[in-house]
Amino acid sequence: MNLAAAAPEVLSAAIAQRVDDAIATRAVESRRIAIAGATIDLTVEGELASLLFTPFAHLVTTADDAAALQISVAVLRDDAFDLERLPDTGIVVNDRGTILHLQRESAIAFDRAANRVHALMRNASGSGLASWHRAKPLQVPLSIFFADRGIDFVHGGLISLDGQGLLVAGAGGSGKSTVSVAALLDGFDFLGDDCVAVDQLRGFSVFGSSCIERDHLQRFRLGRTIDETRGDGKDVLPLSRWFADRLVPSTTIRAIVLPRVAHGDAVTIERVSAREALLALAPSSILKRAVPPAEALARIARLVRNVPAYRLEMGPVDDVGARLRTLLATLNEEGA
Amino acid sequence: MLNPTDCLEPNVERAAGDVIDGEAIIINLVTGAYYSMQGIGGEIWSMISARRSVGSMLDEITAAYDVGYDDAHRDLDAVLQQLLDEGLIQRAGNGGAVPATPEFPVRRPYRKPTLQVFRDMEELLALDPPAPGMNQIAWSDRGPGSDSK
Repeated sequence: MNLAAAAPEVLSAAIAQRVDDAIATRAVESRRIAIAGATIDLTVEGELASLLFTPFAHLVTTADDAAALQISVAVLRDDAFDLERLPDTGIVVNDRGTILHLQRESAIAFDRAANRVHALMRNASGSGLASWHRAKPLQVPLSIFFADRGIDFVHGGLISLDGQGLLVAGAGGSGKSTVSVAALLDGFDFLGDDCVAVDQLRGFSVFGSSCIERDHLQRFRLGRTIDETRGDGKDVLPLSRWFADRLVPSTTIRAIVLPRVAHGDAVTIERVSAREALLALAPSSILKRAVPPAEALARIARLVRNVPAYRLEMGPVDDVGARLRTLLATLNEEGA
Repeated sequence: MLNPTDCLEPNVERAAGDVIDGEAIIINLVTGAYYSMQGIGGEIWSMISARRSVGSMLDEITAAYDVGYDDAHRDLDAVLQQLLDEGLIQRAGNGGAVPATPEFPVRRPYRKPTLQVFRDMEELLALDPPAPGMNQIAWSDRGPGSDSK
């Protein structure tokens, strides 16, 4: 197939056909997961099972309702598509509304009307996938699927204690992962450290893996060996395997926490305005996630009007959890 | 200088904006810059979103705030020009319905509208860009079960 000349319709049909053929003829594994109340059937070629199922392991469900979304994933083999030769790698929309997301690691066709995703992905053990690809597979089609239902994927972490969630917001490098993982190690439930779903005041887990800078990782006493590394400076922590009992699917957002990297002797928290929360949460969420910009901004603005926001100046990571517990206790006393 | 009959509207292909605590927060979807329009900026953004004419905006500002027409016109023109230069608004073919200027028993203190620009996301996006082509996604063409909240 001459990909440079292929129309999006031809390419999306070819991706679907190759995935369906592989699923029909090769060994496959299936999981049923639930994200934000939507049942999703995930069927993957066997050798991709670890890559695809690990981030969603905490979301497996036995619900027997009809699936809202069906996803099939097969291995992208070098003889199938030469993605490096694609003229315009990225998102392409065909005239029937099917969305193609083409990258060097994967070729995904999402038929929005049929709620059907076909994906070809390289095998992690074969070429070594980028850390974000292993931590957040299928992010673009999932983001679009939920945005179509008024649920936004936001650029933030989400942790929870006794069902009371803290949305950890900020641009890249602000400390979202550090705060989220520190809270998890302190006994909080964990829903995500970079990409979570938000529907009004409810927050939902999407990915149970954390992508964290190797330099920052050394600050934690994880007591685990990281064996899934690669040279992009980030490690993928399979938290859904390590902390299966403390990865939870949803919580109620009680406050927004805006971390800021500092090197003080103590972790400090102070109240900030809704405006600061919006500036921390909205630009990166809207610019980096596949969401409808105006509607997502309006929904995020509603969220920051309805929950208080706090600036967290980072100090010793071992103190982060205790400060967040104090914050939640204070909110409970105030009835906020 | 813009004419009183000129009508403006958000450039929805390039910008998303909302008003919080009286301040307009606007995101440039193309460059990654984002903006805070303070002073009476929130009201101005709301009037732009309603595709009000410049003259109609001025009528409301001078009725609501303790400011003279010339000063208000100069300040409004300056901030609208900035918004135009940044590609966040555009001229509208037809203005929206013009509501009657409400009565303001007491004129409030005037705060000059100013546009603050944040460019840190531009740098972050240059290092870690979003998927190319994301702006091609048509959000009005929803799949079944869509539910705007």
